[in-house]
Amino acid sequence: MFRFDWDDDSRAVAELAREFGRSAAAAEREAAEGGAVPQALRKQAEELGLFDLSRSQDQGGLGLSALSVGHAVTALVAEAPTIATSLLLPEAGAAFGAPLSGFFADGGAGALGYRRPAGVTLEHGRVTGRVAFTAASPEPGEGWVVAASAAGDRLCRVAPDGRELSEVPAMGLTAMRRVAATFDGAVQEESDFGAKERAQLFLAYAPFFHGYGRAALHYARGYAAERKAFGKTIGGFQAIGFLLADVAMEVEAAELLWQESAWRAAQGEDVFRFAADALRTAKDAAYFAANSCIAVLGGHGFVDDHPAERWLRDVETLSALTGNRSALGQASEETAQGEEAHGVA
Amino acid sequence: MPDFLETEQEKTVRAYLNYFARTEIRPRSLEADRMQDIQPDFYQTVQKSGISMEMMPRNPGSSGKDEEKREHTTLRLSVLASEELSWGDASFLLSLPGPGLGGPPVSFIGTKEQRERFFSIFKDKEKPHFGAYALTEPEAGSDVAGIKSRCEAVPGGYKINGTKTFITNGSRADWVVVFATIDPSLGRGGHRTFVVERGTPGFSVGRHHHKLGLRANDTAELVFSDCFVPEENLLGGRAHYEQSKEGFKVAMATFDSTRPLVAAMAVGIARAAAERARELIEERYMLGRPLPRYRALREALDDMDRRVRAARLLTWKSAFLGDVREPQSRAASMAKAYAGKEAVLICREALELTADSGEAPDPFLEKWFRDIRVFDIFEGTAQVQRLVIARRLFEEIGVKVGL
Repeated sequence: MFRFDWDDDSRAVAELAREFGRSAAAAEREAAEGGAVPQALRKQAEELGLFDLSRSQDQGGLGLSALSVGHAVTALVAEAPTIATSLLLPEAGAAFGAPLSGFFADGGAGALGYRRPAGVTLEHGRVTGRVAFTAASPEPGEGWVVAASAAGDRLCRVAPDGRELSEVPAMGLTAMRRVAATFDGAVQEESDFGAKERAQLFLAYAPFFHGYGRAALHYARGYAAERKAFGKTIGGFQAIGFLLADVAMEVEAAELLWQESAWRAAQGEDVFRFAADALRTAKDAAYFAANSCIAVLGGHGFVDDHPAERWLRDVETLSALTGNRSALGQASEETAQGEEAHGVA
Repeated sequence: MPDFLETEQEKTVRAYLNYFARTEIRPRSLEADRMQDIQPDFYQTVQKSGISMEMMPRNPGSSGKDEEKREHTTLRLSVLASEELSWGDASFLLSLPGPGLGGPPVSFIGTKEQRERFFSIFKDKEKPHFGAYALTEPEAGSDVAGIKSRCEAVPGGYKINGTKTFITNGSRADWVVVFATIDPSLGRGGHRTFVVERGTPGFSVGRHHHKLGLRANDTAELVFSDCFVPEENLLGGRAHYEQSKEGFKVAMATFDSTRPLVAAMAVGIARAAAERARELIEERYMLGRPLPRYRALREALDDMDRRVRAARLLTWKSAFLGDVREPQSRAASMAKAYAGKEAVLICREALELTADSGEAPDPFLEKWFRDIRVFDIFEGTAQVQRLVIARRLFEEIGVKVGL
């Protein structure tokens, strides 16, 4: 029968992530302005095993399920959104059990291939092409790229000498390397990257948005509990209280949609459409939370004395990195109709 | 670990109730709405089927220590049942025999003797019986603490004076749980909870309300005029109120357990509307072209499904928390507020999407459009739910902001 509690192991890992997030929170601004997560924090995260949550125990990881990993990611991002996302987003390949390398680029045609050309193609054992915008760790090793081939999308491992990275400016996630990647190299390893893997990717991304949503909600709540106007704390005004209630509802609804989809994926169900819906909902909730956080802070939310404006920039940049809202809606719509839908203008 | 596995028990409950809703409720739905009443043959069918509002949550803690050790599933099964029956017609669900919303307060604070006395009538297999819950007053809806109905201690019991309004099944109820105050200046602490039985001198049914929707369900005004209620009908007994100021808490605890059910009803109606819209659109628009070619329609229909799923999950979570005895008022309010809001929008969109020029509006979609409006109002308005959620949000960090 349906239930919504967590087992001890998942709770413990999430608590570990939360603690790390709390300790990292003070460095958020420094990281965002300095363009990188402080090395000491990266090392600490590595020692805590935060990069190894998905990796199988055979490979030295914790071998946690996608549900447990997502729970931990949400907990971590909610405490230190910019740093947590900068550390973990480049490891998105972990969602498919790929050994971590700090670089993952999606240049495949994917479900939307009939709408846009593939950025990267695979032919005769070589990948060529360009991914215009993706996340990378500071010194990525071998990377994984999704490339379109005659046999469909493939997840390909490419050596560092098979690609060139160039920095791309973007308004948010400034503590993370945001790069364009140009590929021309031999594939060292490849595997299928179909609807199942893409759904896993959607489900790996969604917790980042939940984390931002929660962070913004909590920050706005804390501010509203202290800030006084018209003789009382602004949280005591319904205009503010109701807005926070709406944010809380949207964040919670998004999180539950993700949990259900992740659970169904773990049961082997085809969840492509559900996963796309979950990610789209999570993005909307995160944007709503970040935007509302600025609204609650008023003018203070618009300036960088508070993190609200940074989180709004981050959420939109994260959204661009993970597939925009209309593309996800389209994916959802057309997947439901199967092959018949392809080629429809 | 979150789990969404549908057990055999759930599948059976869902399948049986969906079958019942499809074959016994839907075919009667439009006529009952027109007549503003449900014909007696439905109750005969219900009696045979064994379906009743006794599926509403009771206080399982009263059943003994073994019960305490077992994880309860009542609320979770109830939300599944609510969704399926409301998919048929929520008016019929609200009109099912049983204690209705009066059940939870009797369960929560009634003495053993009171529970046995008031619930025993529902074992009658020959005739349907009803309970009801009378809290709202003409001048005290959302402001529950502000009720003005008075109860005065008199030898052997209490005398009640006042008027209650919008009472579901009020005119047909065998007994009604009534909230009144011994002294309005005491606020919530002055509340007392009684069970008033039909036929009690001084207790009468006022006017029947004519409503926008849920017309087949009886909604009445109840009038108490020097209505004497014996001591043994004070829920929990006099000592209960001397020890704690529980009257108001009873009302609130009732909402915590009933709001998930109301949310589930909204989910059922929204699902029905979304499904009906899809059927009609597929019927009208196929014309040899696959539906996805009408992209705006396809996206709108998919988005309805997504929001129905989100509302259902919030509802399920609040029911789960209730079953495992975790604090759930925030979750219950979230479920109620979200499901109410989205269901109202979905029913409207379903009507809009299918409203072709030259086509008569679909009568079911019109009915659900009217029915759903109250789900953003009863069991706490949308604004009250947001008040509850906001208060709980601030309480989590130990702050009272005066909302």
